[in-house]
Amino acid sequence: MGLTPAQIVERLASDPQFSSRVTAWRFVEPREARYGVLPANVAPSLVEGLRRVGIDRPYIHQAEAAHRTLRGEDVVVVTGTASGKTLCYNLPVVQTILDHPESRALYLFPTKALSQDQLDELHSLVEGTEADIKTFTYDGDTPTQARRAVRRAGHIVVTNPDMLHTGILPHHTNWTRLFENLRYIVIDELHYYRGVFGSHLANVLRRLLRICDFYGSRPSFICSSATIANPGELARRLTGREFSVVDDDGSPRGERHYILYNPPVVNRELGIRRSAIEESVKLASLFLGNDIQTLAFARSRVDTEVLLSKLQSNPDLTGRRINGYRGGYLPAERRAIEEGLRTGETRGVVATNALELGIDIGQLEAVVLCGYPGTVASTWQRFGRAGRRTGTSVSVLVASSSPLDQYIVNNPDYFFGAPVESGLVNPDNLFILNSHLKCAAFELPFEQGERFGVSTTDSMLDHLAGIGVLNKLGGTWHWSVADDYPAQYVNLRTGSIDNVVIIDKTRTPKVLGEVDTFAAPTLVHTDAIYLHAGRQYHVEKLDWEEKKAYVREVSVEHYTDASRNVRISVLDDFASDGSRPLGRGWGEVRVTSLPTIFKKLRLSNHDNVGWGKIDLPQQEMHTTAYWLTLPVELERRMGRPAVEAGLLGAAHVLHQIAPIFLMCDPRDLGKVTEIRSPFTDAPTVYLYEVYPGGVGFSELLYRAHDDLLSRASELINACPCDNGCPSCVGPPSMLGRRAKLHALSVLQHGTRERAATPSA
Amino acid sequence: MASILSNGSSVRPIEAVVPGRFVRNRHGVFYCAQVDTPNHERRGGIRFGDVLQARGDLIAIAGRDAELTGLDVRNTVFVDTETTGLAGGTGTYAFLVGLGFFRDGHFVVRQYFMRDQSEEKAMMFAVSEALRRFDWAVTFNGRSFDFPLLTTRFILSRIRPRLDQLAHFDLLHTCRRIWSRAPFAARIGLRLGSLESALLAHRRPTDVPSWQVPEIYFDYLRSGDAKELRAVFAHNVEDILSMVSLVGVVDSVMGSWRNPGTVDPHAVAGIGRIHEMDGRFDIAAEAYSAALAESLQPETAARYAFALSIIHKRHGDWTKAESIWKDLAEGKGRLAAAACVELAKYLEHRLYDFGRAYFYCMSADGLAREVSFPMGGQLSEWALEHRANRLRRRMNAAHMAASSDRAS
Repeated sequence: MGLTPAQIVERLASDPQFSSRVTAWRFVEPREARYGVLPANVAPSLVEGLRRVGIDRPYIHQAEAAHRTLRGEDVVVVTGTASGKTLCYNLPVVQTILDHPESRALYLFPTKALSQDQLDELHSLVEGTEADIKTFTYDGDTPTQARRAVRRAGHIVVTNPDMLHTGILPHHTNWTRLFENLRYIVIDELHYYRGVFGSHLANVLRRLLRICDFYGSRPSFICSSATIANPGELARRLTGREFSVVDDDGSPRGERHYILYNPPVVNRELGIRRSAIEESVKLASLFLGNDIQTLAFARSRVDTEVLLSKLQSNPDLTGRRINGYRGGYLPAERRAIEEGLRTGETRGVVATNALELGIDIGQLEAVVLCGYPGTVASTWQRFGRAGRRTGTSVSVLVASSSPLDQYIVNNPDYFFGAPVESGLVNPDNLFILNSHLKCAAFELPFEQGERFGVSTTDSMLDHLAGIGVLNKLGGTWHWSVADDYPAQYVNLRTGSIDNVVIIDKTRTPKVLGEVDTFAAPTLVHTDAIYLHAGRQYHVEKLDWEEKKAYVREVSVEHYTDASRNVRISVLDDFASDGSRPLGRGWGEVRVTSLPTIFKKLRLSNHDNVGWGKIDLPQQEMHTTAYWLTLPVELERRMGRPAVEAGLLGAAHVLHQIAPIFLMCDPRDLGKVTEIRSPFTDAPTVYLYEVYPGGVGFSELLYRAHDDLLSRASELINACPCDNGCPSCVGPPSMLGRRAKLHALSVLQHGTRERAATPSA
Repeated sequence: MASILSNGSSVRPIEAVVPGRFVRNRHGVFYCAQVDTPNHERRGGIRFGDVLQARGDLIAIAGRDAELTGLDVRNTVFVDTETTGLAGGTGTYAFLVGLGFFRDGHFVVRQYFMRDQSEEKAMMFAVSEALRRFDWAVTFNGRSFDFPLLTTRFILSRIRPRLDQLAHFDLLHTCRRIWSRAPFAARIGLRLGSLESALLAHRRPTDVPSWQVPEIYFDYLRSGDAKELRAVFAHNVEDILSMVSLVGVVDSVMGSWRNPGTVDPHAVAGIGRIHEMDGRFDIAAEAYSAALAESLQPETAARYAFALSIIHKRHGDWTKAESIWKDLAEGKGRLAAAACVELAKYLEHRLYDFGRAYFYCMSADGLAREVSFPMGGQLSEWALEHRANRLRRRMNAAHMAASSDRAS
């Protein structure tokens, strides 16, 4: 018999070595449930249905959400993981259908897997009411024969934004019943819709509401979200409506421990800490060895696979079922793992954020985060996976040596005290807006004066008419392209049309998974080692034209890491004052990216054991960027090599720490340094958004400029290394021994220069 | 009113290209053209006027839809649309709707045309009013293309769609069932144009390929020059006239296939298949036998023979079935394998001759292996192995029983 979570927590607390590496340990008292009262008009059959699924009284937030929704308000519910959010929308929806059987509701979930789980829950509730309420899933997997029934008879249609965008809205005349009677639009996992995906969704919803208007319905919104700083604002930006926020969480919970853990420094001079993966494996092994169901999160696919193989090969854990879980896995594999977690058959899972989205796996007892997930909000979501309603649970964040991780564990008050980040969207991103304007015109002609999000709708439509996409007749714009279907060109998630399909040729060829087009040149280039389900695959050929990568299973001792050569040119400067050089800038840029080489790195110690060229075409993208400009004289004062090192070091830190201000991942930003930028004519560091047009990160960085620079300096000053290390400015082998000083100097000049410009 | 461009070529409006008139209703104006064909004219062997006598009961069998039993061509509308694309969705328009019907000794094709999208509502309203006069509709692929598209256009024009009030005979599916095995089908396909040339021996003097139609319309929208549209209007009339003639052909083959030599045996077998699908096995067997009495390509003959054998089996006509299976078992491929399995089942379950059953089962295995074992069903590797194992057990059991009989 192993130890209980409570006993393990006690043991860890009394272990001086472990404690010395803990930078923060927070303990949260158990909390009793608080209940509310159902609205008076809730039907007896629904009360009975609730009772049958084990609910005698609703939690206070569930009751509140029902009251406000049934009053006609647009509501967003923001409560913790496993707090019974689903009922917050199921209750008013079912009640409304019981009152008016012709009414309809549309449920939107960000992923297919998720919708399946929520549907099961809804089914049990509906069954309990014994009413004839039909709920159907409509997505890519819905058989053609079943689609007709869904369109006609479904009271509740469950789908995802992609299907709404390509499958439902352009065919709205097949859905007249739904659109004429639509009472509720439910958006679950609202926090997921930020950045590019959120900006797309906002436009899909503009199209949806436009179609509802044509059929004479005005649905209300019910949204649910994990904790973010601005749920009401995000909901408003996505839908164009004002929201009422329900955030008083009445659900009970057991005792919880949150631990921030920094692996020990093993080489002070080089600033090398023991690897986060090693430490995570140790912790996870401790939990799993005591038969505590454990979820480990890694940040990348590669880390997931390495962590998984180390746990699976640990002799102490023989016989325990431990699985991987991430984006590239096929739906059937994922469902089997989810099921295993729920039944308890699976004891451990190593996952990427593919598991973040409220997929129902029950509540676990321990969570280990290998590396900071990038945002405060997503850290809390992952921590939230541990914690049953009773009993002790424990969550540990193991910091990697990246600057952001080090900042977080060394500033625990920031992490525990800071409000979580805001979800940013930019529905008026010209690239995105314009794509959806075409889709909208395809769906229904536009009338003069009609507003699609922006006040410049008429002139955008005129532009589309000018290039022959629309035909303007009198005051109406009509779709006017032969044999076309604009939604097929708009991918809501990546901005690109299609993914690269990975085909396994080891035996009978089969599809192994997919990667998005942006990631493909560095993940599945020819000769890359691609990892899937703990297995290694060698990419024999990437057919870029056909968007197919052919792989074969291998067993090798290395992995691959690809680089790209990135260049940037400024097309438009958005900063209001035209004076230059300025400490900071923000504007539209063109980024060209050329994959160059890949390195083969040994699995055990990351030694370089070879390299190869990547022969793929250059990609070009228009986006927005934030930049930091330094005085030209700096080069004369410091010397060119020092400025170069300082720029690279500063860029490294800024790029890593920028997510503190944004709800994004460092990978959502790219960095470029130029000793003499052709645009600013001065030493410059650029941080650009990796999505065409950008989603607002650059502007926020521009506004946070001073704060950003001072936090970057703080981080460098606090780093225990001597001469620079990967946790701050980068390794001295690349930047020289005075890299920290140079980077600090660059950051100070950036701040001082701006301060000297009074108009800024 | 033709305007003159600087390069001297004249821009000709629709009324200068296609004779017709403008029609105004409460939703605006649209253009309407009409082509009348006298009843005595022919296409292929079919006189248009004779189609008026087509028998609804035969059409209902061919269309596998009892609602068509009372079909009366006098109250039938033939519908074909020209559209801005095949991609579907609400952004695809039907810019030209052709409705054909018999009236006063003529077959009339009335064409409703919008000069641009602003005339759509007036046009659709007129189409809707015109459709009210009919009880039946005939199309070629209307079930999945023209009717859904027209429904969408009605909804977008806020006109109540009436299409579901018409009993609908879609020629495409019927023609596919009847002629899918005909030699011309493999050569030129079963589109309207190929049926027209194969069954009606009709050649269109000039024709515009369907895929060019959307672009011609958008060129017209941009330039205002209707010159190229003449061919599109003509194409629409041709399609509708062929649909009328095809109804005549279907009526004729459905009524006359029993007379030897009048109908292509492949079509006779196709008719047999329709009867079989709807459970009229006697008629199906009759049709298959009639088809097999004519000369067919060997693979085709094998296919129909097998179909016939299954009907014999259903009727308990074992001798006839067995003789077909034995013939087929001499051949190659999937049908030979299937015949062997049928023989094995017959010998095992009817005659308790496990030895010969085993022999045919192993023959089936060899034949199926050559076509790399179809997935699932009786010919899958698993199913054959299972059958062979059982037969081996039963052979042994029978052998043991026989020896113990001898011993006692």
